[in-house]
Amino acid sequence: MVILEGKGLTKYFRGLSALQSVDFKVEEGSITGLIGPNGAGKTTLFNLISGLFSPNHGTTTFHGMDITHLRPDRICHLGISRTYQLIRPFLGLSVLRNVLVGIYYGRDGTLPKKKAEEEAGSILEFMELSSKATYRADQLNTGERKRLEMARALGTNPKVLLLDEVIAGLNPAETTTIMKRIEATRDKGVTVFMIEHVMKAVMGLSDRVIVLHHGEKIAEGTPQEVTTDPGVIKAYLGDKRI
Amino acid sequence: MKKIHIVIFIGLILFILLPHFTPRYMTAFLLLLFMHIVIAESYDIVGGYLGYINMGHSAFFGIGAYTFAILLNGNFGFFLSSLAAILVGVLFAALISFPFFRLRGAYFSLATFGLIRLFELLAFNLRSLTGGSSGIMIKAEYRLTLAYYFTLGLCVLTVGLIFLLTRSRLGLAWTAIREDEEVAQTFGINTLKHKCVALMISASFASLMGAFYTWYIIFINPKVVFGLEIALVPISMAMLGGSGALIGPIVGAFFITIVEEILWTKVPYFHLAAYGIAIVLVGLFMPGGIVRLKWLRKPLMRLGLLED
Ligand SMILES: Nc1ncnc2c1ncn2[C@@H]1O[C@H](COP(=O)(O)OP(=O)(O)O)[C@@H](O)[C@H]1O
Ligand SMILES: [Mg+2]
Repeated sequence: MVILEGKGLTKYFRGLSALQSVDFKVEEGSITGLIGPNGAGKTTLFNLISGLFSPNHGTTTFHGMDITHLRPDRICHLGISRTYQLIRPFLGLSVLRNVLVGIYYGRDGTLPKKKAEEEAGSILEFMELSSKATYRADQLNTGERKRLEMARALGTNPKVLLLDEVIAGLNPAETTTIMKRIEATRDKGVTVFMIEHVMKAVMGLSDRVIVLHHGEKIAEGTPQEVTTDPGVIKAYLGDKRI
Repeated sequence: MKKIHIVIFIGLILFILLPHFTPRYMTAFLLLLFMHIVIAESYDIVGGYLGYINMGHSAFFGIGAYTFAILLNGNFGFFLSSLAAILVGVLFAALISFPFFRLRGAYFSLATFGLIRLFELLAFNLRSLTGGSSGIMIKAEYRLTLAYYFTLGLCVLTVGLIFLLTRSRLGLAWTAIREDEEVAQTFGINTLKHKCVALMISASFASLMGAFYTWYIIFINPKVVFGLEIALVPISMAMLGGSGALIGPIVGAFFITIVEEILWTKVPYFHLAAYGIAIVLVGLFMPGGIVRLKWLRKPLMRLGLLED
């Protein structure tokens, strides 16, 4: 069943199109990869889904419900949460309080304090951050901050998790850790839609992959289909970046 | 009970007994100190926790003062007039939050600063209501000791409630907004609503303080309540002590009120300089305020008086 769908999504920035009539579908319970050279419009697509920007044309639907022009906080309550490529934890707050923001405010209902703190504890354990719970987020290194981004998003108890380059820039050990966490998240029934530059990771994890280039969708399919697609190869080689 | 609780308890008893043993000027000085704490601490809800520098916080103080004076003279009694002072202040906060909170950073600060001037002008010109430049003399006697207790009570209430609020869910939303408003919104926080609520709570304390202060000094005019002297209190004290930490504004209020008092007796009219000097000192030597100085941070955190 399709859980998240975009139709004809178009976004202009100062007259230049960052996204041009993009259609996509994300199957419930799957891991869907979103790849493309830098500046292809991947993050912009996430910003449209999470309600930070409104598209100039097109719609996004969640479980068939039109969410195109809903406020970000409403979209979060419906069950779509995300991480930021530029890593934006609440730097002045402790790791625990970062996750509590997601738990207290990101969910549809309200949890009592004790339950919320238990929940935060188990999420931090899941993301291997328990030992850092009382640290301020600005005391964490990059790998830990990325895991905190994901932990905070998991705090909202999402149905769909949008991951914007949570692996890029990590060392091999950290990469393995977070890949395992992504799979485990999917196994809990959360649908994952992930942008990633690290091909090994995204091809290894994804059921399906969508390829954007210059704001347009140029290919879509299983990892095998996409990697052998001549258009995709050309886009990447032309970009001198693989 | 922790050590700190005992200290607070003994301190309270001391402050309650004090007016019976000390000279009147000491009582008056402490009243002023408590008032400064109320204003600086309530300012800090928005300035320190929400992260919006509200330069117009004293407008609420002035609104409370005038509402109280006008109603008291209309024979509504102390209680109703105080209540109305809070209501008008809070209502006004709600009203301005929608246009003002669309502004960010310096634009927000500048707009709020303009508010004070606006109200000063209104107070000057709505003569039939405010008495214009000659101000309002309220129908009450000068009662220092009682005013002292009211101010002390409000001070304890303000600090206590802010302590609880900043540790609650509401406080979590405020600090999240301060750290990154856009991210806060994508994590389910209705940012506009939370900013509005923060300003309303912040305004309630300041406007009630305005009412009590009017009751204490009996006479108000536009300069007294909308002047620079009160306008500089919240920012300079919160920033000197340490914004966004419960004891910060208290420490700042303590230092500035003392320096001001000394200057006032030695070189009259120079006391305003204390505010300016405080702001410059903070900017140059201690961006986090006194309580975040390297050598003070650790001991304060150990005592549980500082969180971050
Ligand atoms: N907020 C914005 N304002 C102006 N231009 C933007 C903004 N966000 C993205 N863009 C532009 O849109 C294009 C796509 O950017 P982005 O979605 O971040 O790409 P990707 O994530 O695929 O690297 C880029 O040319 C970028 O400069
Ligand atoms: Mg990007």
